Parts: sequence; C-alpha cells; structure tokens
Amino acid sequence: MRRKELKEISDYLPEVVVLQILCRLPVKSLIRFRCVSKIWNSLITTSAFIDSHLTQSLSLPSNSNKLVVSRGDFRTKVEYYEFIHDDNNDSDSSFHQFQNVEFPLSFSYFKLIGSVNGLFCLCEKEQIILWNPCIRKFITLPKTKTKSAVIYGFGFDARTNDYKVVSIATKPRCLVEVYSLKEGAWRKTSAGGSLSPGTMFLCYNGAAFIKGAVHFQATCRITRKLKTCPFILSFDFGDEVFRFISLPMSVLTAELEFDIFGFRGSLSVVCYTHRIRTSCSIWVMKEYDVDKTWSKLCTVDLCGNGHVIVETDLKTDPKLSSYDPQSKQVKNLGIYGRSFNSCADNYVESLVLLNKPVLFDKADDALSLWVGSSKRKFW
Amino acid sequence: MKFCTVKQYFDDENNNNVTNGIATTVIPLPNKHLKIKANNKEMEQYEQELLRNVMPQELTKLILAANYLNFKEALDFFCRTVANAIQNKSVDYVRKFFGLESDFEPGEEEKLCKEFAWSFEGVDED
Repeated sequence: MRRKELKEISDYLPEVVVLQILCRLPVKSLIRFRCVSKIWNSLITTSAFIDSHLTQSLSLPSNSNKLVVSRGDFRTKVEYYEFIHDDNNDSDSSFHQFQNVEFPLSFSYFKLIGSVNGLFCLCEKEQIILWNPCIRKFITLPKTKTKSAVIYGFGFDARTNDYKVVSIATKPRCLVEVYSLKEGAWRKTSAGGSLSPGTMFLCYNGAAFIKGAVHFQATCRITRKLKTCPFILSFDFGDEVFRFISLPMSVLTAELEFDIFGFRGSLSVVCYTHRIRTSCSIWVMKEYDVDKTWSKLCTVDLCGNGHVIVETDLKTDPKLSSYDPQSKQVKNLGIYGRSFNSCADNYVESLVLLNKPVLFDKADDALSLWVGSSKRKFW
Repeated sequence: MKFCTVKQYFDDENNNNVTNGIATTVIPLPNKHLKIKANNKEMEQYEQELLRNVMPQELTKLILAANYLNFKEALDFFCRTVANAIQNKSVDYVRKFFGLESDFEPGEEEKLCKEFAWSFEGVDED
C-alpha cells in the first residue's frame, strides 16, 4: 500500500519540479545524489542544470558573504584555500571558517590568477589549471604557443556562457591569446596589436573581474628613462579588446604604486602614495569606465580595512582583517601567520566543470596522487 | 494575475490536486510571506512547523499547486523546504521520498559511489 502511494508521487511530480528542488541543494548533496538513478545522474550533469544551480547559488543572500582567501608559503611549498563567511547575525567580530581546502597539487607552488562562479584559475610556470574545489575536480589547460613569460587573466563571457583565460606575452612583441573552456583550445587574437609598442605591464596577473573584464596595471615607456603615469588596461572577455582606464587625478604620479580589486561590484584601487607603505587610499570607480567618477572611499592607516581585506604586518602578529568603511567595524578573519602573495575574493558554490572531461595525462597522474593520499583534509 | 489563475484552478475539473487543505495553505501564503520575509529566524520556524505538520506527500502537492498557480515565491519556499529536508539524507532515503528506483547496471552504482565517496561523509542515518 505504502509503495503504491510513494510511486504515485513520482507519477505526477514533473521533471521541471524535481529540477526546482535539486537546484536548491548544496553541491555536496548533488554529487551524492548522482547515485540515486541514471536519470538523476544525467540531469545533474547537464549544462542547463549547472547554469540554473549557479543562478540559484548566486541569488542566495548567504552567498554574498562568502570569501575565499588563498595563502601560499614558500617554505613548505603548500598553498591553502580557506573559505570563510561572515555571519551577519553574530555579534562575534570574526568571520567563521567553513572549509579549509588543501590544493590538490601541492608539490609545486601554484599562483591564483582569478576566480569566477566558484571556478578557480591557477598557474605555475606554463601550466594552468581550472579547479572547482567544491566538486573536487580540475582540468589542465594545453600550453600556449609562446615560450616567454606571460601574464594571465581569468574571466567569464556572459554572452557565450564561457569561461576564458587570457594570456599576454610581451616579448618580442605583444601577443594575446585566449583560451575558451567551451572550445577547449587557445586562439590568437589581434588585441596585442592595439597596444602602443612601449606598453609595459606592471603586474603578474590580471585582477578584479568586473563588468565582464579583467584589469591589469600598466605603464608606457616613452624613452629609456621616461615613462608615463601608470594606468589600468582592461581586457573584455566578450569582444576580446583592451581598453584604457585612467587612475584618479589626485594620485597620478609616475611613481604611483597601486593594486586593483573589486569592491561591491565596482572597480577599485588601493593607492600607495609613499614608498614606505604606512598609509594608502582606497578609491572606487562609481560608474565603470567613467574617469570622473573615481571617488575616495577612505584612507587607511593599515590597522584595519572595510570589507576590504588587508594584511596588517605588525611585527609580532601579522593577520588579515576586514573593515567596513560604513560601520567602521574591524573584524578579524582568523587567519594568522606570515603570508606571501595572499589574495582574497568572493566565493560561491557551483557545479561548474562537472561535465567537462579531464583530458590531459599529467592531470591523471596528479589525480591519482590526490585520491591516494590520506592526509588531504577536505570538508 | 494571481486571482485569475486561482479561479481557473478551482474551475478546472481535470485538476485532481485541488483539495481544501492545499488551498488554505497556499493562498494565505503571500500575506505570511510578506510579513515574515524580513526575518530569517521566523522563516526557519515556519519551515520547521511546516515540515512537522505536513507529510512529504502533501508538500509535493503544495509544490505542484504553487507551480500551477505560477506563484514564484511559494514555489521557491516549498522547494527550498524540501531541499533543506533532504540535503543531508542518504541515497536510499531520497529514492523512497521521490518514489524512484535505481536503474543502474550492476556494478555501475558501486563505481559511482566509490568515485564520490567524499560526498557520503556526514550523511544522516536513515
């Protein structure tokens, strides 16, 4: 009798409704439920489902407070990714860690290039990988054509629903290639030709994926001794073109040093006005790509920052804190210890990469290393 | 928009899902939703109450009603409630809940379970 009743549910529970329920589940549950039946296994791995799940994930208010902080230690050659979230209801002035993931290929030091929609892009020398930590899957990209040092950027093309990596080689001349996850291959672009020959990139990789573009610090060499003031070059993943964005007028000098990041969806820069970094100013571009809308958010004396993550390098106790310029509240991220090349970014759980095959031999070797090791600590 | 669909819903004789119980739960929902939208804790309490008083079968009927009425907030709410209820459950529990049977070839299911062994950690006992 009960069996008949239960069977009736599935008789009139249309697939579209089952999908509505499934796309509200956390990733870990969905991976487990792939074992429920063949139909569910195939439903969960379709591109359409991965997209609807991502849309749901992005709309959850709890996901707007999740951060991922990466920290690499040159000495032990291990990189840690900590997922933390800010529980607004808590009167506690700390973020809470909800995951601590050790990067699967820990025998070499990978650098985080960027992350979008829960997908991370990392590189080590010429090897680039795309990694989704919550489904525990990564793929290795084929190598680019250029042999010289390159600068990378990672982003997402909303028009074609495609994740892309841009590779910029500056010597002998500027060559820009783009890798598309959908195509599974690198492609040359003519974007390099649009840059003036003296263009010099001042960064190792692109930062702040905002309004469909990734941003680089650059300057232009006029003569051997003369350079222009630094500026921002944005690379749009939709039309694959560079655009020039100038920095706030009041901080422009040739010696200006700055970092780019995204702040509440806007392009922002931290400008260090002195060689000795005792203070910095944070500027936010209120309207993207409109120079006049740079507005100073705050000047920070490096003992706090606002939903801006800053490493406070006090001699005894270096730590990462978050500071909200509106409420002037400092929160401890709970991450201590000397860190090199740390970076923080917003994080959302997603199934991206689930339906991509793992193509390259080197990845298979690394995968067996990962699965076999017992000291890996995941959630 | 909502009123027209509701009237149609009751007039539609082919719709076997209409019962008074469902109508009384779904229709007052917009008001309740507006009242408790701002407060997450109250939402959680209401969700818990719903789960205790309503059988899973009823919940799926509520979902179907909300879907038919094109009532997005109710659909989102009920689906999320079901998702929260099943998220930490075992594969067997979920099969029983949705009335599904395994259609895997012998050995196929084991292979998948082994591959995703990490996702089985911390699952509720049946």
